[in-house]
Amino acid sequence: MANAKDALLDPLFNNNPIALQILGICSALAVTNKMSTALTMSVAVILVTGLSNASVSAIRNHIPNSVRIIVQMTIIATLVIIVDQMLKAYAYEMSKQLSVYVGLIITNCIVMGRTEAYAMKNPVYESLLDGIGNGLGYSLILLIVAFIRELFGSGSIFGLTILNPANNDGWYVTNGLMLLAPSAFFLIGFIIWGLRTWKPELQE
Amino acid sequence: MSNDSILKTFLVTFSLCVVCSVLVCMAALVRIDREAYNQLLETRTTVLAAGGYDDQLAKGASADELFANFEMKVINLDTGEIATEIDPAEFNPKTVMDNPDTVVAIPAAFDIASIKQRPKFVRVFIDNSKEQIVVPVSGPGMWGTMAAYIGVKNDGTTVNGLKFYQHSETPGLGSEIERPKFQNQWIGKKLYGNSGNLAIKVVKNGRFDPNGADAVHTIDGLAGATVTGDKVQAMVQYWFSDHGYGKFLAKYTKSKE
Amino acid sequence: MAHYFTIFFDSVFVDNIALTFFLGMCTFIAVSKKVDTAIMLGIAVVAVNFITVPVNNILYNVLLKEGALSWAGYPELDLSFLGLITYIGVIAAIVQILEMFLDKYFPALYNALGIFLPLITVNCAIMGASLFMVERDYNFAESTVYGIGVGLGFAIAIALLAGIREKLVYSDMPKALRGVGATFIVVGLMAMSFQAFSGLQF
Repeated sequence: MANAKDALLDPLFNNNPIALQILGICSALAVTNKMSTALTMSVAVILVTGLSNASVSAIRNHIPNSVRIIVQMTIIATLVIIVDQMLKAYAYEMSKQLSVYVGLIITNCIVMGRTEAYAMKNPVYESLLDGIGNGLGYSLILLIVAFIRELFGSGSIFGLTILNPANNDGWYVTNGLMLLAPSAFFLIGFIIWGLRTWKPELQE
Repeated sequence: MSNDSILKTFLVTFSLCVVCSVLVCMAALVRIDREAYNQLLETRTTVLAAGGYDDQLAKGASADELFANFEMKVINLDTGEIATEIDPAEFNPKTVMDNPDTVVAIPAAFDIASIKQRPKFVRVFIDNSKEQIVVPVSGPGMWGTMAAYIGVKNDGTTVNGLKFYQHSETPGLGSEIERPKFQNQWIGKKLYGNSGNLAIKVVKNGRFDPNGADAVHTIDGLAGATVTGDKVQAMVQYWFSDHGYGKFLAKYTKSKE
Repeated sequence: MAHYFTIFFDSVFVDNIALTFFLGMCTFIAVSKKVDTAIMLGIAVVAVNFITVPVNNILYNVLLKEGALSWAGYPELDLSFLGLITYIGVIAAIVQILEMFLDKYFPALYNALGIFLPLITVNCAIMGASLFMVERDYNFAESTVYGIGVGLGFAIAIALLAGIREKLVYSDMPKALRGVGATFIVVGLMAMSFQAFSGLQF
């Protein structure tokens, strides 16, 4: 069971996909100006990484080597389309805000990276946990960034006002930079800095 | 059978394709079922918010029930008449804009908001219980298209509410147009002056004088978003000019007197 | 002409795919340690985008769009939900073909670009360009211009970043910040400076 626990928890800090493997940053940054979009994106990615890992692992002994990549790609694309269609059906407003970024989970290197590196060699249960773990590691960074950006950029969390902004007759003058794209880079840079100060063995 | 034999390769890829396509099709069928309703609901909620029903919506009233107060009509902007030949329930703004016969180029003299072209037919929402009409407006903002619904009382000049449902203004600055603080200012403002001239305007932030003679026509702009304010003003002024809803509103108010 | 120029200029500078949409970030950070490799990757992205965006545009307009199949007798059909899998398939196939083509006819170029081509299949800047093309409803000519513009924007951004990183090696930073951490902050500063372009309109 230690193996399974490692598969789930290792990607959170010791081998975080965003902060250390530098994978899957593409879609990570554009959806972090609000907690609600970041949370939806996180759930979508956890679902896709978990299920794609599990299904690739389930048929891993039958995948011909020559078409390995395209088989994985098909499975991932199918799962992403299903998630995308479900969002359009049951969370219409949210799917409009996420626009193309849900589709871009297909090219999120975390998903492909984990199916290729882990699910092709390991049993279903561990693969599922590894997928969920990597999804969680991704979500952790996403939610931290989104928390800071929404709190200081709009004075709210999940749309609920925490710091009453001045443009709504409150006292808090919002930090406009936090709503713009570059702030996400700064925050991730600082998170990596913090993580590597805490765990010096990760330094380059 | 070896994994890398040609037969096995074909077998695996083929069965994978079958399974995946079945899954994708099922997902798509669910989505198609729900999407039409989602779009309808979105339009209804925006129209209701523009018509001053946002309090009731916030209290959890059903959008569908509130919407029963409204009557949909398709109007011909060129004549200002109701276009009875088009069924409002089937009306799709996108097909109107895609068909060259139903698109009207806006003459430069009228095109204060640089919209370039507008549809010939527009769907409006007549609210019998609040004696108002909710109409769509749209135009270029600072970065992308802005679109909103505006509720106008049956006198043809008093604004009953405004609700933006699409824009890509600068986050934190121009994007404040979607906040109640900006949108609620419009309630009670008059679009036209006493002589019937277009008088509504958005001034630079802080230049609004609540005691001024034209306060009833003036909206206080947003801090740091002068361009967005100008674009909103141009858009509203165009749509309520004679080339926009002017002709229709004149006929409509007369019929309601 | 002015219209195409606007699309081109917007996609290179104003809406730079790497610095305003955050796409292609994995390769953007991973392959920007040296200027010459960064430029090579940039060229590969331009080449692949120049082919895939227009090809996906044709597929979208002829097969997937709502009502696109009316020539085959199915005017009601809307297959746009198959877009994602189609585009990734096209991208994977074209990258593969390009690789084989270069290998056969331009071995020198293949040796320089070869290792980057497989990376490009899962580069969001390629997939993203196709998705934005669909979202903005570009026609064939527009999508060609857009494809080149996006690629060039990515190439310029990655070359600039590599130039900065080469110098950054000599600076005395806290150990934990060196490498990726500092790169992220540099990219943030670059993204801010690229926002200066956003006021330009034609």
